Amino acid sequence: MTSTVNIKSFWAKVLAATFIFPVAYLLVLSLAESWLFPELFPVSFTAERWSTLFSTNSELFNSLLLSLVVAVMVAFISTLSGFYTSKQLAYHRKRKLWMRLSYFPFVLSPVIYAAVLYYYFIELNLAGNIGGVILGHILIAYPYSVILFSGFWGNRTQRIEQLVQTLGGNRWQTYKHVFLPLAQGLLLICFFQTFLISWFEYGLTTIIGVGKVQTLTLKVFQYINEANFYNAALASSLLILPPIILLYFNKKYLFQKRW
Amino acid sequence: MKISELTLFNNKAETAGIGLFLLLAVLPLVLGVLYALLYSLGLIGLISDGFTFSHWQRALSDQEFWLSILYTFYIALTTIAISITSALAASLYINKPLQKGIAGFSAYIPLAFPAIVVAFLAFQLGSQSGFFARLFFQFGIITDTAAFPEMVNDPFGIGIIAAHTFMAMPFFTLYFMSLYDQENISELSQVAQTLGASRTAQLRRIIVPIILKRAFPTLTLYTIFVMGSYEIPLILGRQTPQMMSVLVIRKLRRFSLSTIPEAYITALVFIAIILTILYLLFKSRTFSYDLDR
Amino acid sequence: MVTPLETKHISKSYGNERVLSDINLSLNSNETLSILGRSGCGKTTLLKVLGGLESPDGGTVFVNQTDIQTLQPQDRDVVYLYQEALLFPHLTVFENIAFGLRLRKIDEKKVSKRTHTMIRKLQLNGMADRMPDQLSGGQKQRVSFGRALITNPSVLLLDEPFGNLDAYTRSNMQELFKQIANDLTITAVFVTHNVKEAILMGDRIGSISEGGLTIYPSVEAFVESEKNGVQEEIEFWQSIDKNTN
Repeated sequence: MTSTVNIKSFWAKVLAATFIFPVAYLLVLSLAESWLFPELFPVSFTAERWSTLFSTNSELFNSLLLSLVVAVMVAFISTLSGFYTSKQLAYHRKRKLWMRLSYFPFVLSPVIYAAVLYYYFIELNLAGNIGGVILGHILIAYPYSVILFSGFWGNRTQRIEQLVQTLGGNRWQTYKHVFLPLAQGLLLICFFQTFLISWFEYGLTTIIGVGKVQTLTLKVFQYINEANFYNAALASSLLILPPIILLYFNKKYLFQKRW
Repeated sequence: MKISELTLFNNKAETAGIGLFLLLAVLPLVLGVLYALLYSLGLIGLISDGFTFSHWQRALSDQEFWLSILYTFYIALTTIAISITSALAASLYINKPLQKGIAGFSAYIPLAFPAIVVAFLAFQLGSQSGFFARLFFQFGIITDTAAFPEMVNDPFGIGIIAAHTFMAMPFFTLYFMSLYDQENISELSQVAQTLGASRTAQLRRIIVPIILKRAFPTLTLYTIFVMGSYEIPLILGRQTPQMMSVLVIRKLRRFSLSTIPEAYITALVFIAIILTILYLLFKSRTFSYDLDR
Repeated sequence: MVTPLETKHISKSYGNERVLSDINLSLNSNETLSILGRSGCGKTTLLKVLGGLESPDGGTVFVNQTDIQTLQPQDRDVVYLYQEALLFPHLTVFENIAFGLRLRKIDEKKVSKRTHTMIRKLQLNGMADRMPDQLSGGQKQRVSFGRALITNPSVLLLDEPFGNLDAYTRSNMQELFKQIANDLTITAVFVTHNVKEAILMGDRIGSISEGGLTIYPSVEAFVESEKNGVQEEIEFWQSIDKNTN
């Protein structure tokens, strides 16, 4: 009995190591002075890359800020508009049709979606600027938000809404005192999930942004192309640290059925 | 048109809500498909000279196009098969240690990785001068880099599959474990046990079928997601065969404008495949069950 | 004559809390023993020990006069039924009922025949191909019975099987169960917190409180015992009777 327990915890540790190792690897690589074949471990370390990051006019720092701004905007707009519209969709008699339609843009490859929409973005003067990239991200994040909230607007919520109305509450009061508090947890989850959709996005961003809107993911790609692996590791670390910190506070913010 | 809209929506809030939805989620897809279709038929675009099927004929007779479709399915299905198998093993065999402590936390870590970072990592670890090659070298298993097997930019897509599995396997594991609790599976397998089912029979007839059946919609959507992935095959793939998303962008961005219609045709075929899969999924009972919940 | 179920000196504690102490019981063939008890009195634990889903701290369980303590639950020939029907959600009504036969690798013809017979007996005609989520509460419970009965287990353990049903369905199910138990000569332990149900269902009646089991020699003895609240109930109905007159 104890031996099977030991074998099980051994395998769990192997799995845990597989998942933790990449984080450690990226951090080490971002701190390595140089790390060449066949060294298993860098000979010397430097904090210079990390420190220049916070110096003035660091390109990478600007990308970090840009990514943050884009992701916060996308998350904010997608969550609120998704919350509001999903109610109208859920109570509509064509509910099933709307829910099904909302899956299409969400699961469709973002890069292919961007490819067929590129023309319209140019026409609307939205190619190659931050506004266009935010809109592009919203086109994926908003349907997700609708899907996520569709479960909230069920029979139970409807009964509660009717109850509030019979008690004399108007629509604004219903939102303020009932819907928003009830959906608080879900709103947070949606905010972080849509934040991450934008934070992680690469393909659509490079097309709609025409490579000019240099978010962090684009920086990673650029560094890989330049064979500057140390900076790629640094940019990668910047990408994964916020979600890992988030994970530390609440696993639910990351683990949601996104597919 | 106005009249039908008025009867479709009951009030202002509904009109605003559904209107916004149509604008953001439905209209772009329709417009996008329309544009690609017109372009592929030679009706619009920089090189357009009137209605023609020649682009379609050229695209459909191109071996690379068909290879790309096959390759896309191969990568997606292999990834999903490996991930489901390993996630089932992990969620059923080591569920207890995976629910607490560092191991419990670690399974969530890959969820914090964007695809581009996973691709970068796979490249760093798996290339011929990468971390694994160095391990082999240090242990004296290989004596020069060329002796290390190609794992990235390889013909079988090993790097692509490995990178996707790194993201999918922990997600499935966590998902299966949550289904195990949600669907009351431990009680159901106890029932099966008192009815005479051995541990193997419980696994084979109750536990695995229930999990897979409940997870089916999510697994299908994830398969679609892998089919449409871009960064991972872009960095870890090779020139040919290419996954469809990579092929579309390559043909779109080539110097010669003549491949643009073919790019749109590939995109259209991809969209058609996805729509078909989704349509079939929506028709299945398991999905409407999911929607009604 | 063989005794289908017998226990000697069963005891069980969770930490410092003694849930069962020195439980002795013995059932005759085709007999239903009802056990009355409040929730949390240890009746579910007793059933789980009998079914092998939990192991006792001390004592022995005999099925057909064989000590089954060392057997895995699946080899005990004792079926445990929960308050919830717990139907397998991925299988049809037919496959749920046939489940035990499939495990025993019985050939298709016999499976089909026996399962359809059971479906008729349970008055589930025409529902063979339904999925569990398309059934009402009473129908689910009947499928769950069928699934348990089809393999002819030596003993059936029922843990408040009608607890989730409305009064009307409940009394229908009680009748149906009595009839089937007679038809198939079933030996059963029936646990409930409802006095009326205990009297209705049991050939003999026991009650469990503070971990100890008392089995009454007759229904009269059960009714007269002060522990079970039967007297209070009688007084209640009588008082209403007086007031309305």
